[in-house]
Amino acid sequence: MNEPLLEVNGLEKYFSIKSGFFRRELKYLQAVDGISFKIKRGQMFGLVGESGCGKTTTGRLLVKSIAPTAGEIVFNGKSIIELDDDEVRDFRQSVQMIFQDPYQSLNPRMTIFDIIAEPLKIHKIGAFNQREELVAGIMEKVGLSPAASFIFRYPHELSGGQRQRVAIARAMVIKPDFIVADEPTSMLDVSIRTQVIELMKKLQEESRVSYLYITHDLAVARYLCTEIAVMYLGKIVESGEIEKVTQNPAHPYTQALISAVPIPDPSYQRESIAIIGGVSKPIDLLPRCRFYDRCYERDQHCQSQAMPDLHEIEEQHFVACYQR
Amino acid sequence: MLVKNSIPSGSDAKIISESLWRIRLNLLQQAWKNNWQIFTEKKIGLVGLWIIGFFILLAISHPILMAYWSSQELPPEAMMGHNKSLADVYDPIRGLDLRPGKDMMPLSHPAAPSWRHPFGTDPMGRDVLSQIMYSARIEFLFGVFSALLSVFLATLVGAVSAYFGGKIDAFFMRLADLVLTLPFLPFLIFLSSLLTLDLFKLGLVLGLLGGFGGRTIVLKSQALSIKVRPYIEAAKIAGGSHWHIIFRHIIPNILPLSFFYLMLGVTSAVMSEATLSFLGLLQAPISWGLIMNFARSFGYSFYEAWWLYLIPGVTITLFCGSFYLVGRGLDTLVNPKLRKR
Ligand SMILES: Nc1ncnc2c1ncn2[C@@H]1O[C@H](COP(=O)(O)OP(=O)(O)OP(=O)(O)O)[C@@H](O)[C@H]1O
Ligand SMILES: [Mg+2]
Repeated sequence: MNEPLLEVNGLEKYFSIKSGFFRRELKYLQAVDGISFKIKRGQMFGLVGESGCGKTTTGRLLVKSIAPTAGEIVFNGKSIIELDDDEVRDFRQSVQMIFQDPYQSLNPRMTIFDIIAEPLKIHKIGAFNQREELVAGIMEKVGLSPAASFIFRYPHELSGGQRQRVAIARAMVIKPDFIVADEPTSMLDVSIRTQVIELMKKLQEESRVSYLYITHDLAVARYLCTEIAVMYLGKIVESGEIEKVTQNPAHPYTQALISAVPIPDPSYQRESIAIIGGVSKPIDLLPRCRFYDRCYERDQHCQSQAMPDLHEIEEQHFVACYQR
Repeated sequence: MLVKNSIPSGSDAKIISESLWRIRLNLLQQAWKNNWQIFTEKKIGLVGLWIIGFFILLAISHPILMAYWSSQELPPEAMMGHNKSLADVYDPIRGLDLRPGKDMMPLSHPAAPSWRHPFGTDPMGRDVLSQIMYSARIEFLFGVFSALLSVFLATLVGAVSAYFGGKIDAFFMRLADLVLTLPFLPFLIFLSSLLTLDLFKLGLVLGLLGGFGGRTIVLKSQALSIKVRPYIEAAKIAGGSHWHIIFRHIIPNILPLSFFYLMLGVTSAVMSEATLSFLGLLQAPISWGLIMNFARSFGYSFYEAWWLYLIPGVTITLFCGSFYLVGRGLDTLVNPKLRKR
């Protein structure tokens, strides 16, 4: 029980990009640059960070959709980097991913039934008529009811929220151990967002599935997750128990993120923290703190030293900053 | 792993009371209706379909007419020593019309259109209408066979090289370049000098050239745009094999475009066939292009026997045009962005 379901050690993913005259110059984009974390069984683990910081890339690495440049991913006590064919099949049956854009992640030429039943077909689970019942059952569970009125429709006949429910049903139908949910609500209308978040919470509480929940919204992470990691340009800058990180943010970047979360109580005044500049791409980075250029607490030491490592500042709370 | 995937029974069962097959059938019907509506919104495709229907009628009615005529004997005064039935009159390949005209003299061939021969006869005394009708069946079989072969190959090769990329892609693309730079007509002429080129062989050659040529490149680029969609990645993450992804995801999404090319394929195959027939390079019993070829090789110009050029010419144009029009009519179905709604 205490042994983690998933353990990530020093995970790296560099994308090679060609630039310059005749595209001869080969550069590397350090999308994920040496991150480590653990996800326990039945846990919803949050991965937070702004656009382009490498969240999706991390998710894709964890489900073995792309191969890492370096590092180790241990799932169920076994490294997933080198698996034989049978082990890959087992692994594919135990992890799933829910994508950001429900308008792109469902095949427009397949019916809802075919979409949800696809993992069952691939893994040869259930006979044909059993599959229909299985699919209908899971559709009711994710709130696509009555199932009969949706089951043979096409994705374009559904709303964004309904499509995302289809994607969730599809991810759950083979009862995986681990699901990567990549910003499942970011493309949805605000009014529908809450419903889908509620659904995710309900489903997580009902089953023992572990999640990596990717979002750029700390409030959502706080509502859903028990532990989070804050990412910035391919590195984890802060991680730990959700309450500790959100109540007592240590890294300047996390502090800035929190100051951007709207507060329901209008009389409450919170100090707003402005960060300098915008996001850059993690290409040809100087060997120093990733956040240096935008940090309001930087000093001489930060400029000359390499990227700081994560260290524990209180129990179950880690930060990568020289100022702490 | 086995236990956790066992099928739940009881609680989850019987959620759908209506028969699922009925729902499926209804929705399929609905989809057909919708597509038909979109197709008919543009009259261009409908016109094409009408012309194709007319040619189908032509092709089927020929054997029926033959059966009717062959049941009749010639009147004795017209036999002139021959012993044959009326069927021979209209046999498109051998039939020499020996019956006398009004002045009791045999017709001189080629004869201009008349009641007896609405489209006239050719230099060998054969009825042109019969030849046109008889050929329609051959042209259909030939055109559809060649187009199907080329589109089948182009779709498969396009999807495979888009999906796998790398060396496989490079090989098929260089092959396509080669086919595209091949001087088409000189190559076919050269081929006809190597072997007796009959309709089946020509269909095969055209199908192969089309299947590995330009259509492959277009279908591949379409497949490339499908390959990067997240649902492909989702299928991969779910454990789908390469062939599962190619056949269940990529090909169904490029199939509308393939269908469009199927229509254009018939057009181009029949045009090539007509050209080769006209040049006399094709070993065919009979075809529209051959009617013109005979007229030319017997030395008849357009002014002397206009019906031998005009009628097959118009027929070929109509036939090729009809498939092209249906292809254009499919445009809106292939490319949803063109839809008015
Ligand atoms: N296949 C790829 N090839 C090259 N660069 C890539 C590729 N995929 C991602 N990147 C780059 O890697 C970086 C991280 O991308 P990623 O999609 O993981 O960000 P993200 O945190 O998910 O952002 P968002 O919130 O916008 O989804 C970006 O700079 C992106 O441009
Ligand atoms: Mg992303």
